[in-house]
Amino acid sequence: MSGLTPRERVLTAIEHKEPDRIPIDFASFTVSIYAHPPYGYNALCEYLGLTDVAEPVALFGSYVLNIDERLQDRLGNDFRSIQMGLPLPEVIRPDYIRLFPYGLLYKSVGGPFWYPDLANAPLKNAKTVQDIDNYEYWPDPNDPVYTVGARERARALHEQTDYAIIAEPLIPEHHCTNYQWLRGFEQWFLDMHRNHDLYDALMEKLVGSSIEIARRFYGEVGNYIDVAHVSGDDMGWQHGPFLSPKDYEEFIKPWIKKYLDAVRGLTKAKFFYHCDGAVFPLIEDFIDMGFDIISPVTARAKDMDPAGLKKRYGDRITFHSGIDMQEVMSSGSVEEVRAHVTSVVRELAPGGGYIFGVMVVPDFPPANVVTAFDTAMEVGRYPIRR
Amino acid sequence: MEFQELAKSVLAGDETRTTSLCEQLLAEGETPERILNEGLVGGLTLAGEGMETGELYLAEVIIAAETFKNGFAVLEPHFKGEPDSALGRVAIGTIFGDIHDIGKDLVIMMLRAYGFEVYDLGIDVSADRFVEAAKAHQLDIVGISAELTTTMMGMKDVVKAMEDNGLRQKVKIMVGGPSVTEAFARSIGADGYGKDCFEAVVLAKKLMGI
Repeated sequence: MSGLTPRERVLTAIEHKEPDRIPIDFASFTVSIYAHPPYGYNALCEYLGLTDVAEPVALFGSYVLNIDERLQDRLGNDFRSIQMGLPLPEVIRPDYIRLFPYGLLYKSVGGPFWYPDLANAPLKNAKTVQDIDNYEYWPDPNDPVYTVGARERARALHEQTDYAIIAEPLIPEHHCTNYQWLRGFEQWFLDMHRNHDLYDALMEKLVGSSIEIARRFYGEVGNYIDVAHVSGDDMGWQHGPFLSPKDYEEFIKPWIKKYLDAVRGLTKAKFFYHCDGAVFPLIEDFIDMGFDIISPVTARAKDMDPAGLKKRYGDRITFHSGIDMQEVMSSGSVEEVRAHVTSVVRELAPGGGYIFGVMVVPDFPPANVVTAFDTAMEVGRYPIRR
Repeated sequence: MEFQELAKSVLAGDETRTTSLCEQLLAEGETPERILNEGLVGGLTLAGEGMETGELYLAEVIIAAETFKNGFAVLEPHFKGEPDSALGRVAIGTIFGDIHDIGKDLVIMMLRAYGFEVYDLGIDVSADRFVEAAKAHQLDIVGISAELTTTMMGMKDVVKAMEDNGLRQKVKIMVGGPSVTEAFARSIGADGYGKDCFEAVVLAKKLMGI
């Protein structure tokens, strides 16, 4: 297949057919490229000779939202994104903010890094369902901030460009993460097992409000987008999932499915599920819920090697990334990055069902980032040479 | 046999059975030390081993740790009186940038059970706050916990801050966390590393020359 537009390329790959080359995602999700030194956005722009880029506008002081178009073109980005609007945070102190929706407390932990203040998780002392109901920061889904201008921006991208358009209701869709930040990470597990009523009540509030907000957002942009992002929240660490597949099926899956079923009818977009960590045993559930794409494929985590994933699930779901961010991208040489990207692309790309992408975190040298994208562009031309 | 049952109930995360077995063993005249060491700690050890071999998930280990705390709450009033500060004054905190507290809390509980006077500095603790605590409480030992490989290096700053403030000769430093190793502890100039909350007690005693 030759001469495809970026949008056609992306959709062809998701349909498990081979386009002209693998689709490339460069920082098209909100949490994809950092503004911080030592490297990050500015260093990357400078490395590529872009000296006149606009001052980065960074979400939570970290993630660049206004990525220069020239940078996106240079690195072959096939996507453009529509971000949902969010209420402005309340600045409690310069180093302490309340984030909306949900009133999550964030503090600066040195430099530009912000982190949820789990010690003061807003609902950590909740004992009863009533305490959940009485929480003062449940969102108003009808707040115009979530949708203002979204339809126009989405339509313009859809009609005036041929990129694949990705939409992302960031924050509300992080159902489990929001739970952990409202109650505390360990309490999340304890509630599941020891306080079912409270767990269900809080998930109902989180998922229910997220559905309401997403309905309004997708109601505006649904006709213009190609990919809808759902954060499944990170369910694993290096050695395996945080919880057993049985727990996932009982406590998490019904809620994610409820969300997905509620918003699926509002758009023809493909659904993209983000879930970090060693989640091999859960992928069957992701497919079963109806997700089309899974990301990021934490390459170095247990059982997440590209060849094994492709063999087991490759004909039923599209993989995104699979690039080792833990070692190769940060401390590997340019030659090692090149060899690694080549190997991942050759494993995951045959037959379609693969989108290349890698986050740009502050400790990735620009040469490694550029090498990764250039290598993907070069070795990702179909037919893939083994 | 009952100790094994207690260990199993901790491992299974069974709060009701754990607390009732602790009460029953106390009523039968067992010492709280023995119930702790052979029962509750046994359960936690099994949970730790299960996670290492991949048989248990993090969720199950966290629930076992919580169940350990439930059982410990039953035993706590039965340990002998006030902490013996002669055994050692310890302050423990999770390193700055890191907000994990489960490992730190278990170490604090165990050290208290064994009679140390322990100050909980909480999470996200700066090097300055470790120094302040060392001065304010005339500490013998500072314990630093780090859950993340990204925050671990901050422990070195604490060691340096203690040196810069002339406290390093007086105060021993022990470190712990899933990615911390004995070699790492030595490389940053700490006095020792404990693999888990039991080793932390052994280490603290050793550092105090007990």
